[in-house]
Amino acid sequence: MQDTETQLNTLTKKIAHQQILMDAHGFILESTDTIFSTFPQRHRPVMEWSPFIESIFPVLINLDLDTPEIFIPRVEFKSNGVISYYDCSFLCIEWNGIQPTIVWNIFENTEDIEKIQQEQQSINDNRLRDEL
Amino acid sequence: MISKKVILTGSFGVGKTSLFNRFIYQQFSDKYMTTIGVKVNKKEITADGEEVSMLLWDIAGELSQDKVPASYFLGASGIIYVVDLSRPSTFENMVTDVEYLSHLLPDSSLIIVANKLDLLSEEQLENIQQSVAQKWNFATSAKTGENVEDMFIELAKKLIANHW
Repeated sequence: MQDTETQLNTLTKKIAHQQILMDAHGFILESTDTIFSTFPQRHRPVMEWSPFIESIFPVLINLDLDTPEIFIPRVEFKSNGVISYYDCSFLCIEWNGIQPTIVWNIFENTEDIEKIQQEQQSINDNRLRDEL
Repeated sequence: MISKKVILTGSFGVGKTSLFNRFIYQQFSDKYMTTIGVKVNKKEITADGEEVSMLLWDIAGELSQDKVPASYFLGASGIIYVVDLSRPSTFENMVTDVEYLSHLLPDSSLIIVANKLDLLSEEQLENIQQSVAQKWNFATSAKTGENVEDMFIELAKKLIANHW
């Protein structure tokens, strides 16, 4: 019974999702702003405030319309001392005649990753104890 | 200024995050905290008169590199492969891991780092050096900071040389 409840909770859990559209220069064209507000940053390229995007932008601007979606899991972001984890994906599309438009999907995953972190910490601590 | 993505990788508990924190924040903590996924930060350094913005990816340790999500390596120009001098098990996959990484990113600059130098005597270090098949480029201590800055500057020089 409990397992079924857990499964139902998992299935019905709402995953926060944000979608950001960027042009070839890294400026935001549109954003759902459902996880964080991009409004204060709209006047400058994303690479100027996100080292994560800066580090992969040369890859993103070379995506083609037929390139499969790129999935980068478990990216840690720190804001005001609070750590959050997001799964990210990237895709190239044509949007309102703008090509390339880079789609950046962000899925909030902090709760699950924190559980995994605790389990992994325990596994690694035990392995280290055995080795030393 | 040139910007380059650099991956810090290797087995768990070898000190990747400690090297990351030493280099970026000049901080060190004895407390071991497992990294999950990836964290990214950057630091600008000067090498050979050129400014380089290093975009560092500190990724979760894996026992072998083929377990790391391939997407983490996309666009990387530099790789820092870290082993732990105090744990022989972290040397076991060094040859195959380095081969794997060199094959995955053939144009990147790779540096092999043996960390936790502070835990060994000179004699112990020499013994390990003679016994391993794959030699390291730098022996470092994230705890004391020994050779950490030098290692990153050397990598920056390689990135500059590859860039031009």
